[in-house]
Amino acid sequence: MNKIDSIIIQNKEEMNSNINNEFGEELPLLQGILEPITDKDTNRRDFLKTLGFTVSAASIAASCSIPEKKSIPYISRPEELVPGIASYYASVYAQGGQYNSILVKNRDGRPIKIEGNPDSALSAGGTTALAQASVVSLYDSNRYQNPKKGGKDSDWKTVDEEIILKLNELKASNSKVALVTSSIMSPSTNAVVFDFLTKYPNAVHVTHDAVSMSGLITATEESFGIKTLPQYRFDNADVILSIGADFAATWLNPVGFSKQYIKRRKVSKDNTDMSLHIQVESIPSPTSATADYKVLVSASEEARFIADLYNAVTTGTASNINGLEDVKNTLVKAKGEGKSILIVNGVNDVNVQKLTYALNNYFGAIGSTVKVGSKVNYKKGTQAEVGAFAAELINGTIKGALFLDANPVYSMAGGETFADKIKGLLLSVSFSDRIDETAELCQYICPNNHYLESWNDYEPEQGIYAIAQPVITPLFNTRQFQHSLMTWMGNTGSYYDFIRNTAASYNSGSSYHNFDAFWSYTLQKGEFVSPSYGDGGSSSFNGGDLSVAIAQTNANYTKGDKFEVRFYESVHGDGSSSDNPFIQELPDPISRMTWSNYFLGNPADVSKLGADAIINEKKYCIITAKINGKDVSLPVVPMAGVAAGTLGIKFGWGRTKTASEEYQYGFNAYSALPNTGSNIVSKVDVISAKKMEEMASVQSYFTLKHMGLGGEKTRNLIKETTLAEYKANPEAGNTIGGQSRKEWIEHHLVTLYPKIEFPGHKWGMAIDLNSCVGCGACVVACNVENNVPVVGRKEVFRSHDMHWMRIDKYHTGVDVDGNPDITFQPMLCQHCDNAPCENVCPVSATNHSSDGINQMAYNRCIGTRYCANNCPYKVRRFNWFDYTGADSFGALNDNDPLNRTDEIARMVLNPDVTVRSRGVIEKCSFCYQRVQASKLEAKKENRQVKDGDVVTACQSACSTGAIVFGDINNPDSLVSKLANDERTFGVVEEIYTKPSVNYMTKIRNRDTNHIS
Amino acid sequence: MSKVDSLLREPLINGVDKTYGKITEDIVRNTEGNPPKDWWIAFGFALAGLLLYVTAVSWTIFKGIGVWGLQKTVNWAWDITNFVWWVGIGHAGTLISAVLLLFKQKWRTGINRAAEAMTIFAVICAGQFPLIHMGRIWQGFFIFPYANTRGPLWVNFNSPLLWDVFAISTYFTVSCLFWYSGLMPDFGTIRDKAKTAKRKKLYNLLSFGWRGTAIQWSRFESLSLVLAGLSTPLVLSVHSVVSFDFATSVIPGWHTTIFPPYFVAGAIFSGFAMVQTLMLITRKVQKLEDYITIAHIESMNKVIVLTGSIVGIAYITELFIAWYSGYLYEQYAFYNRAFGDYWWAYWSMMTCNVLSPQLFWFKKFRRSIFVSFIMSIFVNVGMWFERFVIIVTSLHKDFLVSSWNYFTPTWVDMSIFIGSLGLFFTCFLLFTRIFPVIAIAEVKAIFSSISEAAQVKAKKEGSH
Repeated sequence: MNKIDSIIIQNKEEMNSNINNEFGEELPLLQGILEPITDKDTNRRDFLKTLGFTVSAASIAASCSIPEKKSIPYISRPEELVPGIASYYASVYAQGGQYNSILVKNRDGRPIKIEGNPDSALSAGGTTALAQASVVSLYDSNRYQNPKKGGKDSDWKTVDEEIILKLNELKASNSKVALVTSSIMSPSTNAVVFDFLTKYPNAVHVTHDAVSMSGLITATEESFGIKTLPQYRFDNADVILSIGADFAATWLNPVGFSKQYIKRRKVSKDNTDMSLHIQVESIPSPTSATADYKVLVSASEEARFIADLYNAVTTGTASNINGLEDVKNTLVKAKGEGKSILIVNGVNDVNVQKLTYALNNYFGAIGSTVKVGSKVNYKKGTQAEVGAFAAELINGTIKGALFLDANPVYSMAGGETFADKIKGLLLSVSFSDRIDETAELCQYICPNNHYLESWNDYEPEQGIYAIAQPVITPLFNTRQFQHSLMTWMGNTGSYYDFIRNTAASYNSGSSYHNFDAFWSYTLQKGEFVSPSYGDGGSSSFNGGDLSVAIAQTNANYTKGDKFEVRFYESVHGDGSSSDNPFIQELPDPISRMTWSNYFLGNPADVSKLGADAIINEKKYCIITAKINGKDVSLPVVPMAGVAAGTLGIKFGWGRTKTASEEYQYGFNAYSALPNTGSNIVSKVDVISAKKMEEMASVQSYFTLKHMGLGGEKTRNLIKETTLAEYKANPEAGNTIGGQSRKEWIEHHLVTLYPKIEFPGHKWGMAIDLNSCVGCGACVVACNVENNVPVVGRKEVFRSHDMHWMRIDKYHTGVDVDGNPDITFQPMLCQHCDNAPCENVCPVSATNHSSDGINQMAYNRCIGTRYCANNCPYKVRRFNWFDYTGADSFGALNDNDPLNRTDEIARMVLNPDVTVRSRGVIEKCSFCYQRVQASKLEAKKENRQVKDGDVVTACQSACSTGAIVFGDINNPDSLVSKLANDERTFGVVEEIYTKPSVNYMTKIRNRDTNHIS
Repeated sequence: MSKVDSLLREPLINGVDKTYGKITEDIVRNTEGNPPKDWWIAFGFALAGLLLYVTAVSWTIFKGIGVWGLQKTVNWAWDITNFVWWVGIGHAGTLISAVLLLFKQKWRTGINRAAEAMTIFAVICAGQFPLIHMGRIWQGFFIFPYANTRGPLWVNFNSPLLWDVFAISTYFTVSCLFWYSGLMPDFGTIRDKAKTAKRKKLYNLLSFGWRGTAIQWSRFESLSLVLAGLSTPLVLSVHSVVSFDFATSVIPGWHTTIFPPYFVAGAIFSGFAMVQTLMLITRKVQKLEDYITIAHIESMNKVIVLTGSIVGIAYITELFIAWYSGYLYEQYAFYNRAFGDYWWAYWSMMTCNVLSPQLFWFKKFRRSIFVSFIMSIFVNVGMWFERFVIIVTSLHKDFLVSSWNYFTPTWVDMSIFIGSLGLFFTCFLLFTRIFPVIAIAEVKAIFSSISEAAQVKAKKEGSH
């Protein structure tokens, strides 16, 4: 008998029971652990040990749990709402004088994205960056959530009663009440205001535009007898002369203008008709990037240019302004050839604008490219009106004031001087939906709804009637401005009915059989265009004696040996959106700075002042300029393309009352404006403060020619040619190493590896450098669509900006340090077929899809950042901190100075796109969620995806159609045609990355490189 | 192993009174009794460094990589610089033990133990960086090809970072084995000298019950040879693989075929410098001047001047090829290294690595302890700058001018680097008190033949 047998026999009983009860044994593992507890002899030590272990284990386990989120299902689902399916509603974004007809994307009851309305006659699918970002301002917990009285939350009943009482008191004593608004484009709102003024005859309506068009409006009134803005037709102009007017990106109606303008700037082999665009300016503007000739003049010369040009053209007087002679000759020659000419002028001065009209008249532009006669309502405010208001406020004539979308304390010249006057008014009401400098001083705050929560109508130009509809019920206890006014004048009706009444008058010219058809069709389409639209511009010019205008212009804008300052507006708007983080973080197209304003200065001037910047460390020297007696201290950014002796400063920064101090960087340029409202000031003393400031810039270097071991060489990141060369050879400029690109590729880009095949779709993009005006709408659209985090000023300074889409800017040309040619290059993930990022990822978190997308699996990424290093385009972005609150660590360690992880702020997130957590790389996905949606749609309809089905967010936001997306494998698609065009090239394609984004050469309509 | 050396040859062990017993006594002494005061001071500094390291790393993991100075353009800087620097330092140990063993260089016996220990601690330090530089260290296990339930999800065998994982882990494993197997007879010796039962038990355990029988010695010798054979290719492969991180990329300044030999030479260069630093201190503190002699130091200096010159040739070749390529981006990258924003890093590297070691062509300097020590520090600094120059200056201004940027480190970057020195020295100082810093058995093996020579020489000197 061996040993094992004896054991079995010894345990026979146990064995038998085991046979009967298979697998019935207790787990031996637990015995040792359970013993101390179950054992009767458990002593105090064992108990404490077990207790200690259990408590610490439980607390560790509990502390690691992911925060709980509640979701509440619909008990009864709204009829038209399918969870997960977006619906689009036509509406209007109209703020700061901009008009964008939009479609609002609604997902599960929440508006989450603004798209351009392609059916619009004016904006035709285009949007501005401000419009794109406006949806973010809806979900802002810093909005007023209740009406306020004396700074404390109140209720509508109390506020209404008290305000009505005070209004009646003021009416009884015939004390003046001012209703201060920005320009109202809405006919119904105008009607409400009219009714209010009727009910309270002591009230006056003051229109105050932060960035004023006073000069142009007054000039129109004086020269044509009608107080309005003109209509411009950039598409009808063969020659465009713009004197400091940034019409493609910020001036007046940038979306509409850039659409018209670009029609004549897109060039192909079949269509080489291209307008000639001359930009005369002192501060580089985005518009000048697309100009054929850039004439650099100082700020005061920018104003005098038109006077000298007028003299030169009419009397042949010579001028000492740089390039004027050439401009004159070009215009005169064009006139002789019967070409249509358009002159626009960005100087806010009535004399200058009168002379501009006179020259337009001389060149036959009035009636063809400049039409005056019908009402154009983008901006209506005049300096006279604003000046009178300020004077009456200061001398105490005005006893009560109501403010709608107007913040005069911030945006009126000398605003802070009458701040205490507002405090001392008998009645002061602000309709602002969030804190601002004026609202802060008012007794009552009657917060207006956000525009996405409101009914409204708009008439941007006579003959175009648009309806804005609410897309969400008001988030807070707010009330629409119009409703407030109606309540106070005793009108108990609804504003909705009011609008329908107004709308009825527009139906008279339509072909709809009844009003309901008109209403619902207009509501659905967004806009109704009256058949008579565009006919109205027939007023004739009557300039009268212009010698006064010339003399005054020359007197007001003399050039001394001191500095001159040019005030301007950037794509960030007039400051009313400066508490929108998406706008703050949008880099300025010219300076590529975020989160603050600054002086733009000529590099030689800056050196002379001893205010050189430490460019690589992003440290800029602060200078102090005495403008109109005001000390303006800001860092100066040396920038090629700024005229010598000129400093540029943009409006919209230096707010003092916002929800967070993060929105208050920079200096309020309005406060230094002269009383005349002119945006040019000369004779300014400047000294260097010898202090450096860290600036949140995203690009510090602009030139492409650099010293290397083989001498100075130029990088061919962008490719340019002239129209004449292009006509002779469509491949002009498209070279690599001096060879034609196609030939070079055939000879050099050979590989031993098998060819990469994409059997089905192959998504690709084409970007026309000729069409990009650098406005940044695509950048913001991308941010909103793809939940791209905003990181704040400090983080941008540390180059932690997260943008997937950026607009790089380069300087080229013969005078690259003085007056460079500017080219914008939208840069995003190139979705290389042979992507350097893919093979280096150790965990295959980034890889290639069968339809040509370079994709990211965020939850696979471990964050080695090797891909970001190896990306030649540096488009990959790493989540340095927990910017989104998506981290498994929770809010414990978030990095969120802008409160983007707030419950309300997060409502804007696109549910189709993953919110990335800390420690992962992210980048452009070609809006793959949209590709997927289009594929599903096609599948449902049992068809192939058609060209144009998939529109990426950047493409849809672009008002000039610079971006084309589609299937390169589809021979009929536009993008595949462009991919084979002679103008097409890839960036850094020499290293065989095979990018899927094709760029088209920039073509300038000029013979020589510079006009002078 | 022993062979007879010429009397003309400089002895490898100095001192007149050397016997087998004395050697044991001299070396084991340091593991017995309480450490001296200067050890405690050094250990205090090292521990403070380690604490700094733990703090800075914890802060990084808690807050995110954003606490470092990295940014959208420069996604690696001090982290990978430190990694490559430490891996490079970790090369000397294996080279000394394995390659010199195969080449029958007897002088290695005085320093191989400490060099191997240094290797292991340096690789431990190096291994930290690929881990802590990850954005999501808690998902770091994704990098291992383990069976998983995530469908066909697998690691990317094309990625040089994955090759690193294998290269470093293999190197670490083999180095540990080599080091430990060499330690076993010495642990036996310490055990035999041990006075307390506890100590006896501990060292018996560590020695795996070494008894010193003939068959054990025979196997020991064979194992040494086999492991030496295994690790010799690793000396070349590890840093070649590390260099692939850069060489296989597309970034100008990284995309260079010269990198594997260049990196290996640099690694040996920096490794020897670090061994030199440590040995110069150890021989003084542990009173081992008789075992780690001026001759050792001179031999090391010879290797330093050789590898330093190889590295210098590599630098110049790089410059030449960049110019000769005619390729704009390459030409710019190298111009930018020398004359761009980081010119000071480039010229520090050139001075420390190429120019200063040329002093060692002179015997006087080779045999000067002071010069050797200063130079070893210079080389360590220079080699750190080399990696910084390669990584940061290539990244900060690459293809697209729009993305050009400047990297500035934060306190966390610096703390982690300084802290990693703390980690290293904590390990090393503990090693000097627990382990025999000189391979007793191996030194004894060369003693018989040289002791006579030493005695003759000592007598001569004594008679003057």
